[in-house]
Amino acid sequence: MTVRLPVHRVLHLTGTDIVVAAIGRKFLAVNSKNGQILAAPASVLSQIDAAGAQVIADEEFPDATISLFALHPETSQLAVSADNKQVACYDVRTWTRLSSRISIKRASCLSFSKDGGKLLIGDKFGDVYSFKSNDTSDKEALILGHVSLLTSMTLTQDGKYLLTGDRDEKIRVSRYPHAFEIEQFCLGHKLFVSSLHIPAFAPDVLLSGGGDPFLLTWDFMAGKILQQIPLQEADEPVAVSAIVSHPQTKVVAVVLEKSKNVLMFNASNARDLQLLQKITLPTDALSVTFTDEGHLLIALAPRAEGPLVELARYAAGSFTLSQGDALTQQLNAIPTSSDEEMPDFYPTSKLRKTEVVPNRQQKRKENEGGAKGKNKRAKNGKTETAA
Amino acid sequence: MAEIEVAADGVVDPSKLPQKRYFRQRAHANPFSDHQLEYPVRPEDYDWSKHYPAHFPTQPGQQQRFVEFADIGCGYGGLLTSLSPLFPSTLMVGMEIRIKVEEYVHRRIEALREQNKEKAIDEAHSYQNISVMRMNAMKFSPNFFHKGQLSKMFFLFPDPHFKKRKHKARIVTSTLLAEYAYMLRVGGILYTVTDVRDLHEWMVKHLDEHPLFVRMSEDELKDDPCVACVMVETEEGKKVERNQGDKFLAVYRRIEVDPSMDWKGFKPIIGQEGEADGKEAAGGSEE
Repeated sequence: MTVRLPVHRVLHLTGTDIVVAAIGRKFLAVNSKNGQILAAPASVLSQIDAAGAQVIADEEFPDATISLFALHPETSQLAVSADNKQVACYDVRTWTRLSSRISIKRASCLSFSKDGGKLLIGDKFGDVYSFKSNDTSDKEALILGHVSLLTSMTLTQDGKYLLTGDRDEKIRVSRYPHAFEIEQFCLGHKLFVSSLHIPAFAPDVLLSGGGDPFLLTWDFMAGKILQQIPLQEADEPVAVSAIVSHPQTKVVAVVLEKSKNVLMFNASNARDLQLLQKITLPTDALSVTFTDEGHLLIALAPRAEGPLVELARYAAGSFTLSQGDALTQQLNAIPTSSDEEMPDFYPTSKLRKTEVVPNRQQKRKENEGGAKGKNKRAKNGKTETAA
Repeated sequence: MAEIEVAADGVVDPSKLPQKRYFRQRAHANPFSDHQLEYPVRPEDYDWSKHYPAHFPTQPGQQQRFVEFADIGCGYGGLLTSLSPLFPSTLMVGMEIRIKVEEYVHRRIEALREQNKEKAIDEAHSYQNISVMRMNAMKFSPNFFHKGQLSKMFFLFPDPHFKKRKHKARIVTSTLLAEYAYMLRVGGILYTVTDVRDLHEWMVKHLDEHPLFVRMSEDELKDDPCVACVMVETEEGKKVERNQGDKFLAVYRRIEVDPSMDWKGFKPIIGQEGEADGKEAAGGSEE
């Protein structure tokens, strides 16, 4: 069966004109100003006219859907993780692959160290591993671990602290590289944490979101909440899938999984965010990124037809969806039909804990009358593993 | 649920000690699963008065008390009841994940308090300074304790999790030690005892490798009254004694490190479960 894959991740490389976009197992790079394709897989370039684009051989890509991007502008590195535990690093000047490995567990968050020398991988088992980003043979070192599912990770601007968020409502502030020493916990979420963001223009402030119907801003070194910002979306359960910001305009964008609205906040006072605007889309957003000019590039959920991406142009303090930009035109013209299965693009909502699970004693009582004894107990024990 | 002991006249006698045979539960619980647990969002939200009604709320002129000793996986509470009279003005809490065992310890403390209600709050054997909660300490300790709040943590006869793929569930791992170091003040002490040599070696290895802990010598421990308690006062310890088994003690002090220390990270703990496709590329990171 043929499906029309969406663009499911977009990321602008700060300080350059490069935007990378993930489509299924492949990614391509375009110029954010004129839409020109900078690099793309051979299989895509064979279908479109893109003179001057760098060809990336198809075998240089992962064998499974791309899950995460991380960028390190100063060293021009792009890290890409895929759903099969593959993690690769590319040089965005030459589009050559610097390293490629199979991580111990599938990555749930990905980040470069401040100097770009190390790549950090957080996983579903709560652990963070570190290894040299450009060296395939470097062995992983375990630097920290939560007894939970790790969902999010960010380093402070000075690179001295590593912040990690988990499914059990916690945000941990560890020293870096001495991650064995916990500086602080930021406790205030009542449901899972899924997104962490420190704006470049407010390096002492953390923004966090998850399953709660609010966003929190933190003085993270003190573990103190600065502001609780409601994210009303009727009575729908909320799952914050991304928080990004633009350094010059000081605008913050918040993406809610399966919501047609992207929420824009004015953060000129990072300790007092104000809702600026809701950008309403034809379908929900999978990923967003700011361009250098402060426009918001939005990747849309899979549909049978219609654009893959939209650009919300920023002018005079507000955003307007625009068609006809060179960037969106080029991206929307990419052929994305595939005979791959449609991947799952909604991992965040699944972090929600199920409603009251009867505990084992109750279950056993309810089942009484059936087979009793040790075997049955052992079986029950086995099914009760981490979600 | 545990049977309630009812006196002949139908009235529950609160001073009667519970009998362990009514509170048995299998020795294992999965620390990774979502148990139904009640925990505060943050330590300052927790109401300790239900645990220490004699100490909370603080009376005018009384010094604010807080828990300083934590017995992680306290089992049937033998350590708490033996430490209580040795440190009568120190608050101690036991955390136990097994619901019936927690209920036993709760009733045991209630009965001891009832039997000694004529004693002053801070007097030895008033048992007003010990309490227990049903909790998964591996997940939720930071919800209860502030940074540096604890002066002692106890890990006595923890679940050995023998299977290699279960090693990550052990209560002492390199990554969990960061949390214990966060809750322990500098100079605070972490006690471990087990009758399983392999687990002892595991705990020693991970504690030795952790930069924030240093092992205490026998000489340093010779005047510590806690050592005798951790070796002989727990139900598990007594059982090992009856069976003439070995008991292994390892005690560590929480220290500070030089911020410029070079640190390369820990070796990954890898189980065998689901490692089939990770093996070849992860290359040799398995033991």
